[in-house]
Amino acid sequence: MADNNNIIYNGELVSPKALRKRASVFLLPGLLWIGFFLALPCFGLIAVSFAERSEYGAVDWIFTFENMKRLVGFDLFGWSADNFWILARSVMVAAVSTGLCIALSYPLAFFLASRPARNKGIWMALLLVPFWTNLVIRTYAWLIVLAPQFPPARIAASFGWIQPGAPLYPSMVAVYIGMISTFLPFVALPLYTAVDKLDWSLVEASRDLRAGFFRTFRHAIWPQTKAAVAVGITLTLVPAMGMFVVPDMLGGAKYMLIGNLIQQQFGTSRDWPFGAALSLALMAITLASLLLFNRNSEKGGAQ
Amino acid sequence: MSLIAYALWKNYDAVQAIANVDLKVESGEFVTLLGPSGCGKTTLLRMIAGLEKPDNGIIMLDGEYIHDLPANQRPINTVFQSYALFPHLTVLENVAYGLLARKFSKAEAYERSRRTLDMVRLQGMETRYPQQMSGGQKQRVAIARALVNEPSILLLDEPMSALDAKLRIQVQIEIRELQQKLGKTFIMVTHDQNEALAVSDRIAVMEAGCIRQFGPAKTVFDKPHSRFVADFLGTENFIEAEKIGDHSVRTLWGDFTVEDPIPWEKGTLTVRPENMYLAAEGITARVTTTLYRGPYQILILEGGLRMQIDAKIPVRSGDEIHWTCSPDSWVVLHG
Repeated sequence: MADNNNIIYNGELVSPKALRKRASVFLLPGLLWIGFFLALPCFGLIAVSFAERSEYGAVDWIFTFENMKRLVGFDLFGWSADNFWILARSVMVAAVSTGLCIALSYPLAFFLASRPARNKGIWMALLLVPFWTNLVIRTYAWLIVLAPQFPPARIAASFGWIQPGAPLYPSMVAVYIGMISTFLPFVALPLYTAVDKLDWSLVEASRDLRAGFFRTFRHAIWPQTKAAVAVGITLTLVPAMGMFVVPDMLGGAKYMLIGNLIQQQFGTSRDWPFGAALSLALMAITLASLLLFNRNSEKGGAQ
Repeated sequence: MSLIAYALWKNYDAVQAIANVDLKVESGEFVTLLGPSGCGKTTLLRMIAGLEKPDNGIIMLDGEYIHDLPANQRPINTVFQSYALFPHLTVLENVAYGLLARKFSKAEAYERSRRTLDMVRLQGMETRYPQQMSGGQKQRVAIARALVNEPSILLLDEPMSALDAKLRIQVQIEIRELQQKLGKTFIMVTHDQNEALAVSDRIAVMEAGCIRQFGPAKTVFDKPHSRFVADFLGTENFIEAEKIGDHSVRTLWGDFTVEDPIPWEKGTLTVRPENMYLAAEGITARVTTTLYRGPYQILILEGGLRMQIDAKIPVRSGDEIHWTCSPDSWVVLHG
């Protein structure tokens, strides 16, 4: 009976068992890589998150729920909502940044796709060169651009939005500017490739059938570009949740995000166990939002 | 509904797509824009649809200027070359798209769409998706999707190019029947002369952005004005001639009487192979090749002329034959 289950693979007849054996050989390097560099550190993180911080900042291997309690807000002085707000703010900043990136990427992608071939390269370079620059350097560049003596701050001051002579940072606006400039290429590039291959006859058919802008977008453009938007969201949302350089430099202490808090624990506070607990929380939220998003996009794809 | 296009011009960078085109289409007419690729026929159709803006000129529909209106404000619908059906919508949703965009109620839109689908014999296919249908069915969805909006004019952009040869004949019959039943104005673009002749009331033959000849299908076929039109409609015998009288010409083959007036001293004549026949009192010519075509055969005569005769007549290459043709079958080309 077992013979009946044989399958033709690459022109030869093999039993599923033999095929599985062969497959596992090919999968081994990848599995080892994931095991060493993903699974092992994760288990380490879990272990450390249930350990105790010693007086001088080392990890004492004494089992405790203390870090988990602090995570949900209980500390020496009772319960506080600080961690909750930091987490909520992180999710919001990541979500809003991603949303703004998508909103900006659509016109950008159509602009890039409509450039004639001879100077398309220049426009692509303008998008990509900042992307290849070190994040810290790029963020410093924004500090200069947003400084008091430069036009953006002067214009803002002339409208009375900020004090004359004050810089535009630290502020939420500065954080969003930094975040968008960091993540825009991750959304714009996949979207550009989708827009470049767009079947315009559907757009024309929609116009021909008396549809306005929104209906045309929804039925002619969105179905052809939503896969690219999904890629962009995945590439942006995850790193945006853990981002700490941009909020640290452009947002200051007032706009602390979970990335900053984690960095603080592993850095200045030397509290690895609490840092590990925070990292786990971030990972859980990231995974949850990705799962939620995937399920939604699958549902949308079936329609 | 009558359509008037007047003095239309359109350039793409350095390429002239449409050069000073005038076109008048009467209500209920089936007009075909016929020409080789790159002749501007599709550009002209797209300008009527509103998908392309003319650089210059006017387009009027029933006395109203429409050339400045975007496509979604013109009472004109198009059947696109690749059909352009929305792949994520069902057949019924595709057909109802235009009505829903015009704020019809769902019930009303779906009811009308069902009726139109019945008309193109697609009842029972409402819930299918375009990718589950054959090319011919998709095309009928595209036609239904356009017609359900009751457009003043239906535009068809190479509607049969994606179908195989056998289906094409069938679709030609269906499209022609549909147009006559509805009494609607249809404007079709094609590069296939047989398709154009089969369905059209009038044909506009285009070349290099201009309309070279516009007239009833029979006239364009029987009496082409110019060498280009004659050539495009499949004429092969071009004969250089000299005028020797009001209705007579001298050619290398001999002197002939022609019915039509001759506007030149030296020019070109043409005669269709099927209008030439064997006659004892005719012009003598040697046959160089015979091509058997089933019901008929083509004789290629010395000097390159082709004539078509019954397949049963025994003629072999090398034979000497005598041919003639009636004065009214000569076509005097103007240019």
